[in-house]
Amino acid sequence: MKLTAAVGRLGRRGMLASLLLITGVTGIAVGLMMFLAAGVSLLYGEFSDARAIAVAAAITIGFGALLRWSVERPTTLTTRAGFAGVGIAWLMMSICGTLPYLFSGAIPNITDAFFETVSGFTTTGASLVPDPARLSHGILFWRSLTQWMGGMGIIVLFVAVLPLLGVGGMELARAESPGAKPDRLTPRFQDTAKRLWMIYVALTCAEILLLLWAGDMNLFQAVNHSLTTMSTGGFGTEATSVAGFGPYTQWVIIVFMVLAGISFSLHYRALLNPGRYWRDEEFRVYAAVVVLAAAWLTIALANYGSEWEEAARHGLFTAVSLVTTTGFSTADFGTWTPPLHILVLILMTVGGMAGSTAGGIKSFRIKILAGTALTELRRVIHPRGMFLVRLRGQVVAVNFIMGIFSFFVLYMFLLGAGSVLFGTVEVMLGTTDLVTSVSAVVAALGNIGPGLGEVGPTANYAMVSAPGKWLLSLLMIVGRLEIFPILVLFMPSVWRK
Amino acid sequence: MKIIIVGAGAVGNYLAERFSVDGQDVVVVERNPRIAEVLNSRLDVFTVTGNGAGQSTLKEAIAVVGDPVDLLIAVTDQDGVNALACHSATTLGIRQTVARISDPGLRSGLHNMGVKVVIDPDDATGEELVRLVRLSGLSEHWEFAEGSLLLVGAIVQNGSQLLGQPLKDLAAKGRKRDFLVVAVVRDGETIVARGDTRVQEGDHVLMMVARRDIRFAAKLLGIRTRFANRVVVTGESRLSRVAIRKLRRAWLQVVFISGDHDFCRTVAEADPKVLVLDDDPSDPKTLGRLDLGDRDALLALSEEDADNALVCMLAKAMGVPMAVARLHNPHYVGLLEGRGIDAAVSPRLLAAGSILRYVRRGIVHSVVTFSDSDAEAIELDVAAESPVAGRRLADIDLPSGSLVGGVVHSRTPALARGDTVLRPGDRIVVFTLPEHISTIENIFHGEET
Repeated sequence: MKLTAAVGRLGRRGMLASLLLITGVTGIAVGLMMFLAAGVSLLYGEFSDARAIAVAAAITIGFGALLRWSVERPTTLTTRAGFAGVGIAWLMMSICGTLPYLFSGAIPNITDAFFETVSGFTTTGASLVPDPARLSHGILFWRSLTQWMGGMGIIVLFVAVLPLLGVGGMELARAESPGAKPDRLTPRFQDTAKRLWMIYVALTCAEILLLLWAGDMNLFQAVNHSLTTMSTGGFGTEATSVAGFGPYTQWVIIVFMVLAGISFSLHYRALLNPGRYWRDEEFRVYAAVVVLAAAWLTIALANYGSEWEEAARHGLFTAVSLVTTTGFSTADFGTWTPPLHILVLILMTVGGMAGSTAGGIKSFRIKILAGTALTELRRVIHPRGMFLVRLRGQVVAVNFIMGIFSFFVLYMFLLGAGSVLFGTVEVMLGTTDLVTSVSAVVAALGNIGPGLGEVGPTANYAMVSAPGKWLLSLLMIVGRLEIFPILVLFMPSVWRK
Repeated sequence: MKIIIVGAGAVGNYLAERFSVDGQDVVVVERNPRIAEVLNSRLDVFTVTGNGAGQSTLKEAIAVVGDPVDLLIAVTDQDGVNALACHSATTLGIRQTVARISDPGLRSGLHNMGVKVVIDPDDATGEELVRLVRLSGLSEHWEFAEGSLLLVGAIVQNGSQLLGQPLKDLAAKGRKRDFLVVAVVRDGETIVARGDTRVQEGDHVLMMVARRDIRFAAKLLGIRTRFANRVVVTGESRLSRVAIRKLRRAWLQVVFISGDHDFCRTVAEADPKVLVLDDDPSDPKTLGRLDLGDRDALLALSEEDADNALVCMLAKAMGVPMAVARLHNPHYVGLLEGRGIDAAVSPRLLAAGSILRYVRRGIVHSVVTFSDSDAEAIELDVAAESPVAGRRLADIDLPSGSLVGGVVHSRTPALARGDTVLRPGDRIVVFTLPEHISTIENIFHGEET
């Protein structure tokens, strides 16, 4: 009651009310999902873990409810509040998400638990756990579930699909899953979000069935891998990622990684008309990047003495895994030659389509950046020529191009500054080479997971220092929310009345 | 024939003149009293001042010539007025109506409103431009008798084999390939060809050839028939937009130049494959940067005659083999063709031409009008009751400004010769000055001579 009064004084319909509301609702949502993990733990007879997760869930829901009902529901939600709210909610859920790890003792250290949780929600897939097979089923499931929730956007799920908030679905969706522009399938945003989530669920179920049919995985492994494939997360249940499974399983995962990197609204439109995939310009960019990268890697691997099927599978798997920012691996690309390392780093920054669960810079930005560069090149020949940049046949406005350039500049700045900072911290506290620091930052910002060197596919992030882990965690959230929702939190004008 | 023309703009003016020369009863409805006055004093037509879309004005016009009126032609510069005039005319019992409609979005459904024929000057001009570019160097290219006979025109270049000798000597050389010069347009004056006519450099020559001899004809006229693969279009006008669309559909590479930034943007937005330059086309540097050569063509299509003429001359100076200008003023056409301009187009004249063709449709199969000459080429059948059926061409006494150019006998096309015998059912192409058209029709149709 006191809190209500305090908030009331601060502005019950204002900025703070919106923030508390969004954060509270997100807390309740995360808590409910924890109960699901507790249930799985119970199913496998892990009673102490089940109790620990259930306690974590109860605390999270209680905390969320307190925030939610301490304020009156605002009638409208400004874009500013939407952006800031999503940023804060993501920080909050990353903190609440650590509770199951801490209470069960699976990851006792708060820094490590935070890193693992952020890596989950942001669908990064960078892990501190040396051997996931040693974790209990409940904890492993929670780990995969964080990725599945984060992939499609948990706030959008619980705000738009389950109308706990009631207002501002569109604003929040724009902040949580940014793209060219909100792609509406139906007049009401809630219906659109429902349809996208339905496709997400359906594809996840389809993958579970196919993986089971392949026969390499048991039900638990199939479910976990499906949750982390469709979210382009990359947490596995084995220390060797998916290298230990058979070729058929790997091909299934390749297909579903490709699907996860495609815009879900395009999936919906193409449901009855598959020709729409190829007609979509962003899809063609995405497909071209994947095919070129896969071809390059295949030839390179075959050149180093692999069988052709194996080279093609590893080449395609790695290309798809990196472009969709999943981070699964069948081959240890950390042991490849330096030229391929550079290719790996580039693929890590490219990203999938807007409106998919993939991270990175994203195909439509690549297309517009390349288109603009080409335009400038043509302008050299015809200085007075009028050259317009187009996306899907539509002329792109200049301020939109400027927005994309600033995103690109900020992305590159964060990569540079992050590498310097991370490298400095690591050199002071331990020993890390250049490849490791750069690739760790690239992998964190792009939400890939494994990097190169000491954080390569077969290694993990356990050796990173505590400040380094916090830095990488922050970069993961910044990368997942595509920079702006987090950076606006640091702008004074957002907090001004 | 009793004809009402609504709108005394360039098209209306031209049509009124042609019809009155033909001897038809013409009433022109014009809103602006001063323009109506000028027209009245210049031509032998009656003018009514008022809004041509209004029933009262139309009733007044009908009363002048007397019911029934055969045809109403609405050619004001406003689509709405034209459509409404046709609608009013239909309700007043005029059966044939023609409207000039520029907005393609309005076209469908007009028939129900009483508009029987729609003409779009820019659209027709766009088609003409594509044809000209395709046949780089020719100023005319018309088909007769299902395309088996062609009437082509060009400005005679230095080095042409036609120069110097009288036409009868050229024809007497007994070449395998055949051609027939029908007319020469010199300094805006049309000379119907005779045996002793001599062709001079810079003349606009019109000749008939069989389709298979088109390249031969081009060579004879001194034209290098290399097809243009890049077309430079200049000037902001609706015509340039229409022309660019049609050129692109013909798989030609298009460069558009205009100093109007906003217009450039609309062109660039419409088609990403068009190179749009936001620059002054009359600045020699602008064209110079394009490295114009003999595979290029230039179309100057702005609303300003002077700008178009200047741009064409610049392009010719830079070696473009084909420069076409849009000219509003019909007097420029004859004077400027051959002097820096290879061909001139005028949307209004083309529109008038298509209306003339439509009106003459009854007896005549097709009519061709020319931009720089009043003469027409008409295609018609020889009737059985015609007094000339069964006679040699040389024995037929045609008016002095007329000439039979081609004869199609039982589906075999041939160029006309003195000893060609006309039989009933033959289709012929006659080139004639407009004042003889009714005489020609009578001769070959066998009504009273």
